Amino acid sequence: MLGGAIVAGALLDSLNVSAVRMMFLSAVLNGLLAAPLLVLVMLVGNNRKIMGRRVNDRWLNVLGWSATGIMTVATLLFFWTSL
Amino acid sequence: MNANAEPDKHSHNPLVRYFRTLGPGLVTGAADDDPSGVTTYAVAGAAFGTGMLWTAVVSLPLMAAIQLICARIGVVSGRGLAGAMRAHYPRWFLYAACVLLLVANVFNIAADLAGMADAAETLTGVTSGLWVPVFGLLVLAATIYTSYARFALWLKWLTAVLFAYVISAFLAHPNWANALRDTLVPRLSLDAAFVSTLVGILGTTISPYLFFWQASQEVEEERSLGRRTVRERHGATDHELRDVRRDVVTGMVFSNVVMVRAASTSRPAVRRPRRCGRWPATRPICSSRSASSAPASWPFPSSPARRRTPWPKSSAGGPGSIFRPGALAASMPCLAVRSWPARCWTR
Repeated sequence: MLGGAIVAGALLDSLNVSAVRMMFLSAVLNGLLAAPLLVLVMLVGNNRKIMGRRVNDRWLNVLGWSATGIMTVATLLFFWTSL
Repeated sequence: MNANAEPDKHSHNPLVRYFRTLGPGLVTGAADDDPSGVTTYAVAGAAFGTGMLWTAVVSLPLMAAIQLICARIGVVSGRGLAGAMRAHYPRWFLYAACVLLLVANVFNIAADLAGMADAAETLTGVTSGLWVPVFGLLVLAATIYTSYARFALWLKWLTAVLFAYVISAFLAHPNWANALRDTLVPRLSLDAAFVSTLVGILGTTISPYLFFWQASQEVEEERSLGRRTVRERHGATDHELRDVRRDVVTGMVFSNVVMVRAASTSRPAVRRPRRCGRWPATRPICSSRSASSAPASWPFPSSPARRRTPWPKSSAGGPGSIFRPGALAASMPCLAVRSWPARCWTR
């Protein structure tokens, strides 16, 4: 995986793609992926089979689902404004 | 974090005791300020001034909660996030998540490597094409040939390097009153450039990769205490969970303090008129003082965007002189964090 990334990094660097733009785009890509993965994390964190009595308490749920909601809204806004 | 580690935790100095509980959370916080993260803050600072500093305040509790949930999953289930999912959810669920993550992560590592290489080029004058494989192999070697315990210790100390951003922010003499107001009062715009920057900032802050990393690192932490099987690692005491919470919250606060500082450093540096002249492509952003004048399709390929990293060259002798080596050294924990779980992902 890292090997692939090194090759990709060298390639992109030699293509003279701006490193700043790449880094910025990778940040945006991470942002777009966050919403679905946040849902997964929240499901696992609240799963009694996995967590037993250590499932998320109320605060973690409020904050966690807020994060999920905000990322979802941000993602939708992104597609709405950029496409 | 468990009975085995108890004796050396009993220091009478509360600061020492506190520092000993730090570990995975602190490192995750530092890894959050990776080159792509810092660059994104810098881009935000260049385009919108201090107008996006509020995201650091808003994202802090959210990010702390999410990372804490991930840490708890690791500590309680004794498996990484992917491992816990594999055991209890359909396979395709996990595979879909992993493929998405893998693509994003490879791209992220590649971008970070390119960013580090650029920074190294401006420091040494040696072409960046050489630095990409050098840094890549260095990180690869570090992740393969070191034990978790030693590696974690390096990472813990490397986080101190991030203070370079804090120092350089002070050297940049930002407008403190404006910065404070923008930190506390959220502003929103439906401009495409603003929204994509917002997604980028939130994406590097609440970064999917760090969910997996956090859980895996908690597992590694337990393994380093000699709990080799999932059964041994299963469950957690209140005491352990309290330590985990303290560690994660410290790391996230640290991370966002650095984030604010990095964002306010870049603004004066990037806005130098000299720089705008040198790269005509940057002019639309440099000359614009407001969000609305950034081109609508920015930062996508068809539109003008910055050619090189914003921190080098723009501020020789200024804040950049600390910023550059700092950025370079700070990249190491992030890259390492991103590549390390290749070893321990699904455990």
